[in-house]
Amino acid sequence: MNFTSIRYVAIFSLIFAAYYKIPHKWRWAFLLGASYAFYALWNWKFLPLIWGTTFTSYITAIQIEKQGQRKLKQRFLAAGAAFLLAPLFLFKYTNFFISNVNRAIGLIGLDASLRPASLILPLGISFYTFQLLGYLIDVYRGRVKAERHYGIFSLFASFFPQFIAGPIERAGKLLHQLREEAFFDYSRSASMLKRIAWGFLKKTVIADGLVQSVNKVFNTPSLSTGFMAMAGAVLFSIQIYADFSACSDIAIGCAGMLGINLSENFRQPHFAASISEFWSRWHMTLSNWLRDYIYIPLCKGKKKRWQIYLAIIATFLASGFWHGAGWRYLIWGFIHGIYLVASNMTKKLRKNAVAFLRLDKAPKLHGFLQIAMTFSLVCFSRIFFRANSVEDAFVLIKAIFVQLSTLSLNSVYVGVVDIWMLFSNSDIVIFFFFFAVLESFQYLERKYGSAWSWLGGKKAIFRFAAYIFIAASIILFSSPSQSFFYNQF
Amino acid sequence: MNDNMSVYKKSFIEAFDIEESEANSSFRMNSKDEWDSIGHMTLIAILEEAYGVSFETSSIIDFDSFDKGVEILSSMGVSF
Repeated sequence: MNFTSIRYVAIFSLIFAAYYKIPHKWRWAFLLGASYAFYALWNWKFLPLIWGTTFTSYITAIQIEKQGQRKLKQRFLAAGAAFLLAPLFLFKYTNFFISNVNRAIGLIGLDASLRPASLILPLGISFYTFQLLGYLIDVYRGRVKAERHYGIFSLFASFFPQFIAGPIERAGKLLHQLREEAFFDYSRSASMLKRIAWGFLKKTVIADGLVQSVNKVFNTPSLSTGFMAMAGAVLFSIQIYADFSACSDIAIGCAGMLGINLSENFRQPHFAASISEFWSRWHMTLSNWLRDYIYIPLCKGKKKRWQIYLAIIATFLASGFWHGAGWRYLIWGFIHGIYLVASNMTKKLRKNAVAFLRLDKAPKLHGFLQIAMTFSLVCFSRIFFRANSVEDAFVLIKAIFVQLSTLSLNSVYVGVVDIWMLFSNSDIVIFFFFFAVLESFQYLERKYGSAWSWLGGKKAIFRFAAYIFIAASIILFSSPSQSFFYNQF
Repeated sequence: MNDNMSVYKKSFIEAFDIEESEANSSFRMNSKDEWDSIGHMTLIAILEEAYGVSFETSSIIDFDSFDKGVEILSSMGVSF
């Protein structure tokens, strides 16, 4: 069941209406029941997997905490991690492993192949596995105490607004909120409702509206010109941002209406002036998770800069592997690792180049160029992320380089027409209009801290016009509903 | 300024490639572009070597500002 489906909206409205009327001591049970019910509506057969994962993590964390010796703590942590990661590897990576074994067998000329397994990926498995793994590591490091209330812990493991696609929460942030009593706050609920509505608009109008155009490029790469490939990469970047940030907005909004603060996941990442800054603004809860649980332990005790570079690349390979079982995700992760290493290695060179070109005397132009360059690099890497295979990605990249090497005024004119053909006439008007709305919203956020606070200072008629505009846009301009992109992970 | 503080400031200058005047209390992870993941771990490596200490993973995670670093190192026996 999608966050933007009528069914979700109806069920969530009922949960919200009942939540504050239920005595505090039973609210955890109510939310836990609702979380399991939501999951069962998608596929009830995977409920035992969630119950098993929850139970194992609960017991393991207590055992880790009870042990006096570090070695014993480590053993319990390793066992817990193995229990958590086993289903992830089984459901997500088995067929990737089989296809690579088959390829290797074919390479040595043998005529034998393993059959791919018929497996459905449990919804949200990558997200809740990382959340629970983070919890076990935090207990091991002594950063949080093992939760003793099984019901509260089960809710931490399956809280429905963030269970399927994050934000990936830390026990230190979420567990105590699930324990404490939340009181109904009208202004908070109203502001969260606006955030949900804004998420709906981004998802149903902008992200879903771009699906057809992006598919035209990535599903038939051999028919795409270089300009179409470049446009496809840019449009996909806008689509995935609108899609995933909307998913986070709705998750944060729904949890907020229930009095629970979830972590922010995005800070206008496409305005980042460097790749390093991009990763501090995009999918922040995953970036922080990878930094704290993979990158820092990998770097610990390493003195040489090249060892830190290797750790960065390994961390981004892990990020790629987390996203999907495919070489294209690994290549995407590898590219980002290389971006960061190259950016660090060329720091002085770039500083000198900026001084030589006198860009330091024009900070606005310099800032614009940095943002444009970062966005281009991110779009390039996303060709691998979105393409249906590595081969398809290379077809598109080749088309881009061929196009750029034969650039002329005429080819630019033809290119613009090609890009136009990715849309229908009405779609392109709708897209540019709502893209302008999105950018205006982001501009207000940058200028005033919060676009909603800015709107709150305006006359009532202006505010209500804005709310009606959002609601009417969702009703009138929604594209056919698509699953959230990150639900597949 | 005592020797340890001077070494501490020099470590920041070396790790993040910043001016001496920037190495002060206002230098924080979230407000400075120079403080990225690579710079962070480079700083940790330089400090470990300079003071002969070994940071716990939790301390590396908590080390998010100039002042916090002083607090962490003080708790490890480095006097400022």
